[in-house]
Amino acid sequence: MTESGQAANVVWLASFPKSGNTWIRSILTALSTHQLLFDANLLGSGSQPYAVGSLLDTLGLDPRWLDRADLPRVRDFLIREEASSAVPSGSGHLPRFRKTHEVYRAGSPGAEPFVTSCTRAAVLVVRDPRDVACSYGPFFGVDLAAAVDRMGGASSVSTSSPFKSLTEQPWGTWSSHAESWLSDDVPFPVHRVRYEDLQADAVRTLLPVFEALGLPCTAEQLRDAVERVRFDRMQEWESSHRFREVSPHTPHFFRSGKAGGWRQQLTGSCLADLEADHGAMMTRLGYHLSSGEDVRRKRLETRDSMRRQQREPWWHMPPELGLDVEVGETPAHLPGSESPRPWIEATADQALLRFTGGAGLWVRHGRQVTVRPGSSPEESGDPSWLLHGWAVTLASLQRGGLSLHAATVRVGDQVIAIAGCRGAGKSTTSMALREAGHELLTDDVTLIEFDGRRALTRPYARNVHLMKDAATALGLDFDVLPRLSGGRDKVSFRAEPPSTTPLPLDRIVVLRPDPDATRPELSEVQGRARVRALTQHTSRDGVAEVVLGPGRYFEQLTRLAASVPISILRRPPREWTMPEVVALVEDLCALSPAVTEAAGR
Amino acid sequence: MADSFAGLPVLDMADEPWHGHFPGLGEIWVTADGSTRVRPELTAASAGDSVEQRRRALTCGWADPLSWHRRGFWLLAAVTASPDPDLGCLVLEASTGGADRVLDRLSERGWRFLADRPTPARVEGEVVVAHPRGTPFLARGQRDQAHEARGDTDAVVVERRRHPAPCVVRGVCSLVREAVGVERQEVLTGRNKVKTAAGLRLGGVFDSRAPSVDPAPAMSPEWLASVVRLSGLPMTTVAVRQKAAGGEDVEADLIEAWWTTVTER
Repeated sequence: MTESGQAANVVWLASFPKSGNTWIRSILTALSTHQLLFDANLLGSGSQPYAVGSLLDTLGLDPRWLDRADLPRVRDFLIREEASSAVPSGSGHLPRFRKTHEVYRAGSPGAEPFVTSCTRAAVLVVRDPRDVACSYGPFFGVDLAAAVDRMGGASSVSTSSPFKSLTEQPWGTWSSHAESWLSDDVPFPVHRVRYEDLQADAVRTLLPVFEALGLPCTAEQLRDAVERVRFDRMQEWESSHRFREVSPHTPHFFRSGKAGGWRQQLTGSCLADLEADHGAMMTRLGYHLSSGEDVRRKRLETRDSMRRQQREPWWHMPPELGLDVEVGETPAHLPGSESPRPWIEATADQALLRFTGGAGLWVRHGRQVTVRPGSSPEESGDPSWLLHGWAVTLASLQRGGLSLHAATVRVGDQVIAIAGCRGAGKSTTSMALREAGHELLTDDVTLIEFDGRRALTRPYARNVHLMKDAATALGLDFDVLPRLSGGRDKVSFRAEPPSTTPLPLDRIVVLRPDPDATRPELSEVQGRARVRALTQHTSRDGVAEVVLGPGRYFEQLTRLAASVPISILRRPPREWTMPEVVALVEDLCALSPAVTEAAGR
Repeated sequence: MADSFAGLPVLDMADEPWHGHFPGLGEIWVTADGSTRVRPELTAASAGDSVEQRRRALTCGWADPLSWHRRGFWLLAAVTASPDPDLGCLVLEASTGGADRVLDRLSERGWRFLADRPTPARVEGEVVVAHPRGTPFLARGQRDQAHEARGDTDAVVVERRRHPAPCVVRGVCSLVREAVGVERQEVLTGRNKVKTAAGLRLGGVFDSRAPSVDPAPAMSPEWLASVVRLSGLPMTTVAVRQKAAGGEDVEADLIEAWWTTVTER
């Protein structure tokens, strides 16, 4: 008993969905029910703790009138209420089993999702995620690929609903679910049970667990209970009864309980994706993998990129950029505009761009953006490049700032802009530096602002655009990543989101493919050549001079040229020399000892 | 009841009047004759939550159901409505997803509603009679920010045509989730009627007239008797699609057809 008189008798039966929770509960029910009275619809465990509708019976209060802040307190209260009716047993109390699919989390005092003072222990039931996927799909009415995506993408029934009397119920991914319950932070004992060990010998697996939980039960009784809920017997029972926990998508709950059944169902990309997402936890839990670690790591990188991109619609822009974006029609022409290129019309505060395939962009007053993708994203690919590059550049110019056609990378404590013409290898170089352990801040557009004499850059989250040979050399799956729209032969990759606070720019490296170069070489740019080195990469097809005006543009350009060291990196255009390029950039930054430490060498 | 714990709600039925406290929301008092008083907390508990919203929540969601109970009524976890109150009303168990849509369709067809759940009812003479509650109807969705029940919720107050007088209960219709193997409509018999009645009749604090220091039995003879009485009513289930194709009214059609069957007996 705790100080407040509550019994610590709750045992959480925790599992990711389709991992064997019902099997354990069937065994527990069979242990306490005469065989003639056993009925799967009498399965005990209580309702899952996220459902707080019983508040109406318990307090007379209709939880639909509560708000989201109240619900966690209600859940805590109901758990304590149920735990308070403890049943004595020997020198203690019988454990009270409660099912949950949620990740473990601590909550706050008076609003704990798993009330510590009432909890004796947890039993974490885990199952090979490959078998879980084969069961998850039919149960939730989705195909295997979707099941694998959900298991790896943290999709779960998470949102709380006062109207439905439900608190949030985060399942996490298959890996993060197990991780949460096995963490050292969990304040009560957690007994891990593998589904496959239950299949091999349920009595031997469960007897020590039940003993530790204070559940009185002999091996004979447990053997009898396990036998009574044997899978084929449950199937036979279900053939003449409707199991109340059956999914609305399938006629039967007890479909196939075999361990290793995934070998007949799960192949190819689904298998590779699943092992990529969960390889680390699978290894930790003793499951053997069919793929190598390098293959899994690269595949996981591709999948994480896809998940980051799928979090928001393609027209979503980071809020710190302050842009109001709408998808719609753009005007045919801009009155009074200049046309530095045939596809560009610009004034000081408006710009209209037309692209192949009917795509268009209209940016005005440094804030308002109208984008016409040209054709549906489903048909023609990812149109986000219209916004991530040109919209941001034009808005920045209209606000009086400068935009450098460059990627930005943090190497140690040095922030480096990698500039260059189209095709020079800016994105490839920045990704290779990321591969080497450095932080990719932004691709393709380095926004410049000044704080006195210092040039600052403001990173923002956007996609990196890669050609096939670059993606392949970096180990990414070109065929899986989203193709850019408008017939562009590049794909989108989304790296980890960068910090968005302005950072001092320490150096600019201009990539210059040179047919006369036999290997990559660096040289410093001095004097007036510094302005010339940057002109091509700040002009933005002549738009900068139109928007800023020649005087202001030149002023900004010379200011930038004077504020940071500039290097030219010449490299052979046709060979893959990325390791040497990376080494040169790292050496350049090696003036700061923090580089070596940050790269983890 | 659980001992009071800082931050947790409590209902004290040991003394008169009954006193409830929900930290962050407020307090209620309910006397033996059913009169009520509420006191909402004045400090903002969550963004956008007003004192008036809290007062309404305490009154409609807590004090009012207890008041009906203290006056001797059963509380049924259901809505009550009728297309023709002179013929009686239906008890509609409508907590599954998509049920709001069905209730909207019935409302559009002229059905009048006595009460949102819980509905007060009792035996009068030989029949079960449902009584109207004046409390607002709740539905799910962000239909209109101004009609949110609280500051941070997915429950909104909706208008439904009302019938303001008690009405004889002619039957029970449970809206269930559509699923593989589930009939679109099933008339219940035998044990299934008892199970439905037991699910409808709220227990717990609604199962004891007088406050008691000793823990009350799980189910009182009175509660059991009410379940037996309710299970004598005609009962049906209607399977509801969570998301219906535009304009689909199958569930409302089935309910109206069954109402005709029940009232022709």
